[in-house]
Amino acid sequence: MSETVTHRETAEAGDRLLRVDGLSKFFTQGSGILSSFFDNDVVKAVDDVSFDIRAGETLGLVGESGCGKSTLARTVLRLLEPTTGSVYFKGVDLADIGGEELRSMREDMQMIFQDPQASLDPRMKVGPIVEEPMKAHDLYEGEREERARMLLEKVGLDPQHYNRYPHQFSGGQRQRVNLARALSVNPDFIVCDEPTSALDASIQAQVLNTMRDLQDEFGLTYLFISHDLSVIRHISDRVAVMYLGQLVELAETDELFENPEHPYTEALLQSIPVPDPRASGKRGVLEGDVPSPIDPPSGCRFRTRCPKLIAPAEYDFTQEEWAAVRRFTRAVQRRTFEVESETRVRHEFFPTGVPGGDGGAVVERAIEAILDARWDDAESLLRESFADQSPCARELPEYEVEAERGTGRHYAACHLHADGVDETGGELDG
Amino acid sequence: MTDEPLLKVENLQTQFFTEEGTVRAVDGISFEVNEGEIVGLVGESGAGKSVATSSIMRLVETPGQIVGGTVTYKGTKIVDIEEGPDGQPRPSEEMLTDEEMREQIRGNEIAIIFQDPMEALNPVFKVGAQLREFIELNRDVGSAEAREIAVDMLREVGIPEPVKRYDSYPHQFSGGMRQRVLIAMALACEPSLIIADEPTTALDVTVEGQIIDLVHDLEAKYDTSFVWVTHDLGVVAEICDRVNVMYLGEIIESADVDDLFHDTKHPYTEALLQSIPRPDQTVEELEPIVGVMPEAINPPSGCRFHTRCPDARTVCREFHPTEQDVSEAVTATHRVACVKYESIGYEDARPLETEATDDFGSGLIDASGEDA
Repeated sequence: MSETVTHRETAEAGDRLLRVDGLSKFFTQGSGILSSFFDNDVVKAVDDVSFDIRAGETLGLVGESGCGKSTLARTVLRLLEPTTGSVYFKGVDLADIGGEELRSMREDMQMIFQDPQASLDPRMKVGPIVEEPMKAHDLYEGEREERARMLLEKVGLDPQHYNRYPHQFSGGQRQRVNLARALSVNPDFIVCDEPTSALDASIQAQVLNTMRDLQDEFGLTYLFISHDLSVIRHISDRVAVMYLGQLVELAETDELFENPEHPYTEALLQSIPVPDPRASGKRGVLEGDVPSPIDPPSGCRFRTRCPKLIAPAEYDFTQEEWAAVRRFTRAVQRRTFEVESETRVRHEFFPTGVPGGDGGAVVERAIEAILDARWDDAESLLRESFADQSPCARELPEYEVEAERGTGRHYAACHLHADGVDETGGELDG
Repeated sequence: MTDEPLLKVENLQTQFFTEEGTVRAVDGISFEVNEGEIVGLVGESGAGKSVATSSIMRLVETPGQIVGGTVTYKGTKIVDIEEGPDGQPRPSEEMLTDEEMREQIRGNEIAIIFQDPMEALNPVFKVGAQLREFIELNRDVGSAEAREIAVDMLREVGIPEPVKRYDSYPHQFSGGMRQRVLIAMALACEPSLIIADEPTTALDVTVEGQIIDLVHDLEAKYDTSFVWVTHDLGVVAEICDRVNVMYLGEIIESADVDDLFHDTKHPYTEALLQSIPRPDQTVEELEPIVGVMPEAINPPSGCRFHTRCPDARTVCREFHPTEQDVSEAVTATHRVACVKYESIGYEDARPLETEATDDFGSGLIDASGEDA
């Protein structure tokens, strides 16, 4: 071992192995001399994310496509340079080190990718593939083949397969080769980016079970990324939920699934199809698409789709009135209806009449604008009067809530947990 | 509901003639779809689900060929293969010609939605124009009227600002929106049957939920029947009325959705249900099915699942199971193809000594043994 690594702490189970502190990764679009003269749109792929991973645990990271999961994973391993923030691995800030020191640090941090086919060189035999990281790190000189065969067996392959090519294996087996390669340098920490997403159900179960067994045997710590909440629930000790570049909730697995405290997590959980026709869950479906990460909504990024958006304090809406106004605002924004007659519009959105007061007056003006076919006016009027006035639009939410299950911390980024806020939300729209 | 099912598939067989040999991708499947029903076709990759649907639509391309069976749609034989005088399969006289199939059935009567919406839409034409052209061709209306119908359809499937989005290109839509465009296209000619081939697999869970809800609404509104192809048992439970489970080119169990999940008969269906992690409960240990699905080029003798079946006995290797009716209620048919439910000596046979029955380790060691 080189002397650069001697100051590393050895992590005991339960100790903090990795700390991510205020990590951001922005991408600028366009490169070259010309585009540098113009204002470039900045894509905030990961924006101010902080969390810990303890030695020996599996932290699940879940979110929809495009939310920044994979960028976060790559930035944590410093495969991408972070824009701001720090990643401490065994107490060492990875941003401070570089070159040889970082390279030797990578011995302890490995990654497994989603596509088992694309991450294996088709012209190399499986044995040398598994030996490659050992060569790169100058480890196990003289016993590499033996170790490769041992690892192939550990991951559930035949050691005789040492001389085969990747194409001779099925998808599940290829992912096992990837596991063996990651394990070859005896790492402490493995980032798994959707490792079972390309596999069939029965094969996925085999690979997940193997990953758990290996975790016990080699004392591994996983950061496990997936869009599949069932897989996340099965494999994780704690779960972080990501939306549009930020963490919205982080808690122990049971706590998160049984007692979700963020409306986005709730919506995600409600939209998974349960493999049981008798399951009678309330199904709520989120409206609309994820906004662009170039110009994300202010305050809470989920607010544009949130079914529990908090009413602005300056209007005196009842819960039902606010729900109707919110639904109307979003329908106007998305142009989801056609104006046939004024009564139809009123009946559709305000069957019991438009609310009174200042708020009601705004709604009346918006309806007028729509009847004149001035949709853009109606949209901006409603947005400026209501959506932009909500507390959700003003501040970035960050709250710790009390966990109902287990003893761990429960982080939920939702203003509903601020003191003195009633749940004016209610049922999901749509 | 009339007595005659909307679609009746009988003993459909499709084979691919490759250099390595004949691949029996679909090997004698039979099922029915009634009016207003969503029928699931479930299985892992390689089970033959997609070949089955393209055979029904007669979209199989060489080296593939439909070599047997009949598909009857509203009394018309869209596939009917008989044995010719030379012993080779040939279309019967009743079977629709390619031209009739194209003009009368596809689009108008049976529409298909594919998994990848980007591939199904032409990237260089505007979405609205593609939809309009399709409506013009199939519904015999003028260009202006077709445009109106197209915009209405886009609104119907929940595309925001349909008038504006009519002039967008496919790449300007998100994946979920593109899938909605395809659904709009499928619905545009008001077909009686839509074949949906893994339509939500490439989508995020919240978008998948939106699409499933949309399909439920449309089913109620237009009384359209669906054949829903998927590998996701969660989607099946959510959306299907009846389910056919496929394994290696055959339907091994067919039941009402509730029976399939709560009165499971076939060991493969059972094993499949045991192997999936649940979103609604914590499962400590998953029970995977050992091994991988063998190749359809050289399927195992007897029951095709016997190499991976935890209940396999010696008879399973020798006898090919025939479909048995195990229905308890009069209304719901429940059919299963497993030797356990036949009286050919399963009880007295010895258990097979495979990894599956011995219940040790994973069976990956021999899984790809032949092709080395």
